[in-house]
Amino acid sequence: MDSWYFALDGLVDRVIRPVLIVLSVFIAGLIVTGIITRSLLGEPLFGVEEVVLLSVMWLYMLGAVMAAKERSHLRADFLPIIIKSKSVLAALQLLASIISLLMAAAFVVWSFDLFQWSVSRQQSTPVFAVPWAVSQTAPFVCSVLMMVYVFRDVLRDARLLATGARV
Amino acid sequence: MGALLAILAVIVLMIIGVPVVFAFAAMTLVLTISYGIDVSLVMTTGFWSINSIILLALPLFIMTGYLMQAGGMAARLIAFVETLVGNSRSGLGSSMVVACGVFGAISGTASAAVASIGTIMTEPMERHGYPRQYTASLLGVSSLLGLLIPPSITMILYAVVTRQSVAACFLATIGPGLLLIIVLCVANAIRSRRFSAPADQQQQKRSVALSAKAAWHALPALLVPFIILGGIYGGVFTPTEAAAVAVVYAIPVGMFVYRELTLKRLADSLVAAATTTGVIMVILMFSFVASRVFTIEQIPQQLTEVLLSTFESKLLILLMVNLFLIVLGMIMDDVSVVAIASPLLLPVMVNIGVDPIHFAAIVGTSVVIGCNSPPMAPILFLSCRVCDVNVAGVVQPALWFILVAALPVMLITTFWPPLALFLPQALGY
Repeated sequence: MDSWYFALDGLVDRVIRPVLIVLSVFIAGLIVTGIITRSLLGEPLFGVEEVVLLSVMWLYMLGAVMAAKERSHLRADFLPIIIKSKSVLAALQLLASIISLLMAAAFVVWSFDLFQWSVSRQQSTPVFAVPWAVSQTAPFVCSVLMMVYVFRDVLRDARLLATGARV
Repeated sequence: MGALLAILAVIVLMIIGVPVVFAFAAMTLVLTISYGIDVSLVMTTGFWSINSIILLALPLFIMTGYLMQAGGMAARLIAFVETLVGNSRSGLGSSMVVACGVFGAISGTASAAVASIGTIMTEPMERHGYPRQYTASLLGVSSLLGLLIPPSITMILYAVVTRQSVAACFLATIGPGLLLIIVLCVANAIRSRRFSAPADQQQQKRSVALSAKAAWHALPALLVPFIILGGIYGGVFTPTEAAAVAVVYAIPVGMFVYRELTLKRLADSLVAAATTTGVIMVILMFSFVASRVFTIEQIPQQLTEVLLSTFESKLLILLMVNLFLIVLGMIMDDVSVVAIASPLLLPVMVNIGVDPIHFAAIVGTSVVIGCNSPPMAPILFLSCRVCDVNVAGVVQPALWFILVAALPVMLITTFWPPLALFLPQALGY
């Protein structure tokens, strides 16, 4: 199982990292280009907002996947301060991971619903007529990846509890 | 009942260590089940709420913060501030407070200020007699100036969820932010007498020439707030465009002026910023859904009725709101508090005659206290990690700074509206 996750991590680093870098530069650059053409050249760049909004959801969702990979989603980490027993902490951590997995599954269901709705309605953007599905696919794809990583956390936490290792 | 259950679910799940994003997903789940909300509403509401040009200012300012940190701008700013206020007995502590204020005016986030300023200043402060626990507590409280001094991520968020002007919300927290800087410097001067070494032993005498040199080195970094705020209030660009300009400005400055932003550091900063953004945006997505359900079920109106029938005095209601925001901030992070509490409480505030822009400042100053109060105290804990100290030793000095600085500023902001409203009104908002 671990080797499978190492392969996934490698894939995420090779694919998602470059995409995040390109998207970040692209979005900021495009907005500034829009300002320059509007303010200095007197010609507003048509459709900037549309292209930016089509891209930005991928930036948000892939960023959330990176956080799931690094296990850096915000959490209240004050339990280790009030609970000293390592086994109790490990059990609570496993419980938190199982609840997270259930919620990640709910996220997959909701985002699949949006994806389905998007494909069936075939709405497109007003300027370039790009289907909104391009952007609305992002929550579904990324929620699946997030769930895969949360499942990894459940396995790791279960192993920690079973082996009595340090939390 | 469903709303109460949902908020209770978030709190309990966060206490047992469930990541905030999944605690908020649980809240959404409880709300949809309790009120029989159609599943299709969840993601369509969430998607269209965060797919907003105004909200895009938030990730772009986060990006700016990371780039300025990696590009060496933070170090120059601190060096400059130190030449201005670092010469007094309590100078290094005051330098930290002012540096957090200046850095807040650039990055808009407290965590970026903790990471940058804490990393640079902890060692020098320790050498000059400041205990690390004290440094961590002062850093924790001061870094939250980033929430008050514009551009503030918290204020962008408040403006989006309550449909107010971002520019007006930025202006509302300048007064409270400046007041907090002054009060924190005074509090530090009083408290640090116990342990900071006298000025003449502490530092070499600063000259005007040295300050001018540090100012020259920090000039590209000092220009950022002028570009951002000047651009916004001069009508040249929107807050989102200002944030994009700041990103595009920070890259060449870090690469070619300070020569600290290598391609690898640039890539790492962009990925780190996107990761932070991803964390916040998915939380926001769920809180927007919750907020929509609250609106459909008229929860804010019900809350208003309950509060108005329970407390007859405006003063008591304001105090209760302050307390509610602080308690929420003790459990949740600033983003979650603003996203959940602002739309819920705004109708109450409007009903008792509080201006929504004034309420922005009330929320901002209350969150400052909540974020530094255990059990969650996310910023204080981050500060402890950066300063490498145990949380237990930091709580007492942090509480002292909260009691003598943050709490009075919150109360003044709440009960003296001109502090928050003077600037927005003067500029016609």
